[in-house]
Amino acid sequence: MLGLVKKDLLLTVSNAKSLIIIFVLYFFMAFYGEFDVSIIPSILGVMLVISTFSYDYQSKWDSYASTFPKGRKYVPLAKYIATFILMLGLTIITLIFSLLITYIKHEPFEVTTLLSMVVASLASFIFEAIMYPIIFKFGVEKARIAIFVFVFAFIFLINFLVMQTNMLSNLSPILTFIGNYYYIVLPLIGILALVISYIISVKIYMKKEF
Amino acid sequence: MNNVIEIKNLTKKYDNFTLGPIDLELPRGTIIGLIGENGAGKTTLLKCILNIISESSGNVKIFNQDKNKNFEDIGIVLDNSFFPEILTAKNINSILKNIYKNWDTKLFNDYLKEFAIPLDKPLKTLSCGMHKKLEIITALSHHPKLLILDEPTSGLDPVVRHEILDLFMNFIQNEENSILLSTHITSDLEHIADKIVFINDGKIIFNEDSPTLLNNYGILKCPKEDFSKLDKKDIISIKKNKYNMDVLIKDLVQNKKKYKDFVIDKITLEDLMVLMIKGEKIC
Repeated sequence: MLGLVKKDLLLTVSNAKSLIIIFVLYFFMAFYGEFDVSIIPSILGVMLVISTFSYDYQSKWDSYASTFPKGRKYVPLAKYIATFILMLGLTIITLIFSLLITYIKHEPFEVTTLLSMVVASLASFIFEAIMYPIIFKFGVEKARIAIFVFVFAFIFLINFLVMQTNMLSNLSPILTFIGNYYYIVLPLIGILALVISYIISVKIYMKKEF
Repeated sequence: MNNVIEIKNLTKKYDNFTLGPIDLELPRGTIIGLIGENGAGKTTLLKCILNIISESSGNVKIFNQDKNKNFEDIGIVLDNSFFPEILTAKNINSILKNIYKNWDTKLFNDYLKEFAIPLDKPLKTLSCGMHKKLEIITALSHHPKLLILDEPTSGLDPVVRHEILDLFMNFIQNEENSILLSTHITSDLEHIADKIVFINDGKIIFNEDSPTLLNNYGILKCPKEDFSKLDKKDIISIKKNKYNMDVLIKDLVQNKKKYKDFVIDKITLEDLMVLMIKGEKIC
């Protein structure tokens, strides 16, 4: 399984040239205050992970990987672990960048930057948790449409519930609780979402034919 | 346990195509070649064996175990399915040494040198031949006992193809290792295969020892006006040419005696395949 994780990380490193360009661009935008540095890891993380799925799709990797020893069940697990490592790495790099910016600008480093970075990463975990089973089910090409439909339906549903029901006022104690303890609640939600997502992905992947 | 692969009553049903029922055994130390036209079911069969797709019914055993239990000892080449193209041979080594217990980095590097495959170049920059060679040496570098290969020599020039065929012959020298391969290049099989399995429209048409097969069938060449002199029961199929006919016959030795006035050539697998599929049946 370590080999499978390595494969995704090596794919990302092989893609480093475009990664560096995007990073430098974001860095300058953040430096001139045009961009919130805290969302860099989540945006880049999602982009990079999607690109590993695209490379897999182009080379029909899943057929090949499902013949590896110990069977195919480790392929989705490796993707989740690689995502986690990638996000962690990007968060650390962004943190260093962020410190660098504050140092150059002679500004104090805000702890809230770190916290919002963690929150943004966890939000992307939730997005990935939704996205991965869809990609494993439909493939990366068809999944783009499926994700769009899913996100649209989700927003519509939430909007409908908020407008037509008293959901928001009913949920306000919960929202207040999340607001107060977001640094504990959000990581838990993120991890829980990934675990549930992984269980669904494995079930899909084990039945899938390539 | 003398059979490395045992397939019983295997079927795979799609809306517009059904493979099987297939019964097939791959004895230890032998090479079986699967032949058949595009869409005949060769790749579907190999994918069923490798658990890439699930069978509709039937049973596949590899090394006398349920098919998805032991992939450690199998080397695989699939048609158009390999590592992502931006990775390098060096990356492949780094990945697979954490996947196969018996991965042999030295052997892999020796093969790379032998076949002049660069270590640091992305796969997308390699020629079609080099790419295929890399797939094959990757399949060989964890000391497998069984190779399952889908079109392993397609896209290779004759010189390289012979190098690869030599590799396969060396692989089975110990009489313990075995190979199941599908190919369109039937002349390759004439050199190396112990058995030929011909699949057409999802069914096995024949499964015979290669030398027996090639010595048993023949092509009788006759002018159209002489066709009536032939006994219909000796004819498997015919192909009409401009001035004469190619007649596929069995029992080559007997028929050579029977039809002394006709030219009867030994058959190649390619001719056999074409006449079996495209030839006109008489009865």
